[in-house]
Amino acid sequence: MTQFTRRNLLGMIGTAAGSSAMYYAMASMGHAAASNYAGPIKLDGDPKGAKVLILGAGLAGMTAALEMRAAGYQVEVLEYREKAGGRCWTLRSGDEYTELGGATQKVDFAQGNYINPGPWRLPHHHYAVMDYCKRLKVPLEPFIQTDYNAYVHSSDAFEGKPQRMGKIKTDYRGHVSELLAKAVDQGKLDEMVTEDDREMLIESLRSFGVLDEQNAYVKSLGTSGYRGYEKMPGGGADAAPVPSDLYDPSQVIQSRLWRSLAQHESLEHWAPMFQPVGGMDGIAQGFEREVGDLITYNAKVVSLQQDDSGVTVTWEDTAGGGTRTSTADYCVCTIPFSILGQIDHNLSAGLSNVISSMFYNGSTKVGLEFKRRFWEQDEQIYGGISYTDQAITQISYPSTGYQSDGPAVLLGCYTWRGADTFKFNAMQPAERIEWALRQGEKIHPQYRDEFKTGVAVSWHKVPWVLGCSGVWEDREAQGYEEAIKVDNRVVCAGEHLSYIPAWQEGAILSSLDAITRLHDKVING
Amino acid sequence: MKKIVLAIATLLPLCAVPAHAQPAQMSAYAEDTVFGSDGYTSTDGEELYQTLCAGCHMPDGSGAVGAGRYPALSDNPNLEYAAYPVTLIVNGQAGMPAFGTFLNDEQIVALVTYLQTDLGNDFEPDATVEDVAIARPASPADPNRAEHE
Repeated sequence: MTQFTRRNLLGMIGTAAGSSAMYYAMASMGHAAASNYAGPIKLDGDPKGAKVLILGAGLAGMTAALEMRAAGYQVEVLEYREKAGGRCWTLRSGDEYTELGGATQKVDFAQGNYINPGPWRLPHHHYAVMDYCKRLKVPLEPFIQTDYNAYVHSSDAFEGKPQRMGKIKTDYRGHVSELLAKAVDQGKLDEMVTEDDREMLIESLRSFGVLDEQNAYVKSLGTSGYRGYEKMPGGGADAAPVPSDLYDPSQVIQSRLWRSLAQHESLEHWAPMFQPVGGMDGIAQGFEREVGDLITYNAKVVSLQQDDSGVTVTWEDTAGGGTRTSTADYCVCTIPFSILGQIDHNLSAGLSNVISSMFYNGSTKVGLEFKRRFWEQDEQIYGGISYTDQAITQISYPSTGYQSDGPAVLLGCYTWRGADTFKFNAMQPAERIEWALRQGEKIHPQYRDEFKTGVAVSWHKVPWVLGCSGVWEDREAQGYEEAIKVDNRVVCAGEHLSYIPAWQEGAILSSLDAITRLHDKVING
Repeated sequence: MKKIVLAIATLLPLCAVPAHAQPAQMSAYAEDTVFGSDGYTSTDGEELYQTLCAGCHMPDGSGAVGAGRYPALSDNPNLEYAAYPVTLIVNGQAGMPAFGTFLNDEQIVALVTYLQTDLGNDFEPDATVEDVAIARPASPADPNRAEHE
């Protein structure tokens, strides 16, 4: 019996299945970041004309529809809304949105401008989303998460004046490096640093923190080359650069502005990030091009029943009127548990318990359109995000259309859970917009003069989901394993049944896993 | 006074106009909002309701219906005895998050008293801080823990 080495095993996989299969094999063996996306799904075996009813035409539902039709199933999709995508949603000029309570907003943005109330950026390591975008020909462009010239802001620091992130980042790193280098040099960390490492560590801190030969972080053309100059180097006469003053170490530490620096470093925000060109719903439209013919819109599910012979779903036609019934052999249910818990169903007790005990996150987003790109024209901020300790938490500038004239839309508020989210939720849209302006103008004084129009979405008030994502406090205690099981003829899927909640990747991976297990049951019993 | 302003505010949804640059019409509650890490500090039942609960159950307690629904709290017989709303507010249920870590015992009593005596309800208020303390779980869920940003 031949002993396989890892290398010759990889060689064999590469020869037999091509380089992408080799990549996925390598990833699963720990050489590259692993995901449980293993490339395009293969549902082998003949379902012999079995019919599957898919509830919900968000990304989880449309993934199931696309792949199950390809595997030979008869597929019918029911969707509550008038269009596909679910939370993969873009509001653009001419759209109307009515939230619970009746407030209707007419989006009055200039042609081509938009806001994504739900997901708005794609990590490059969300392999499933990236792969479907490729397969569905959804054009992507870079999403600028990190812009060193955007601001970090705290109401109590630097007299409330916003600071350029690059300055704070460089000074924070410089001051901390100086402390550490001096401590090491003075032998204060000898218990933790070996003699062999000491010199190399100090050398690295000089590089990392831009320290001088005395291990000091000081005002110089060298440090200005990282944090910015008092006067930039130019050409010709009077062109010599002038170095900038450093912020005092205590001021930098006490400002707490370093809290915002870590935002960019988490894996979810690693550059590069991407966005679909023209709005996040480009992904929804990509799926809809493939499976739109299977979807019945304006269908409000009121009952989901299963027995030994099949699944029966009763739904109201909210456009044409009347109650209708759809039957199938199997069902993939992607209805959010916040809604499913209110639908009459006979799912198992274990699954029902999870459905009826999951609550949903709130989140608030406000899109603000301004008459001109003052952040570019006046402040040289081209995309990226400014962070603030105010309730709006951040201002994200458009990652497209740079240097163009005319109105542009930025994200002027993005809250996530917490009391502030509920305070925004209790307001009317115009009130949320007014607060986004009040807080945003502390960072950009141009706000009032340049403001044109806005739109505000609070997710607890979104009629078709009642929140933005399912919350697990403790998956084990709450029954995650129970909730993802195939329950007789029904399997549930969506971002809420993943370890990547609120991300589209979670919805797609959940769906692929659910239909794989359902298909296995159909084929193998 | 706040009630009058609120009555005007509830009419706002009927005027579906884009939010243009003119000063927004703000309800007194929206105008006076204090954001930040202190969360909810008011001990006034009506103010707590209008700045927290009203977002889903609506300012007049009428609830809302979409693909799912938020139950109406006006004329709601479940509010006759405080034990039920106290338990729901502290621990949440289904789509409703737990607010036990947002509100202290006194605030929850004030809120439940408002629910029992306003929004078209006319029950004898019977909430006590002891009831709230009993309803609190040993290790409450942290509503601010974020798995995502």
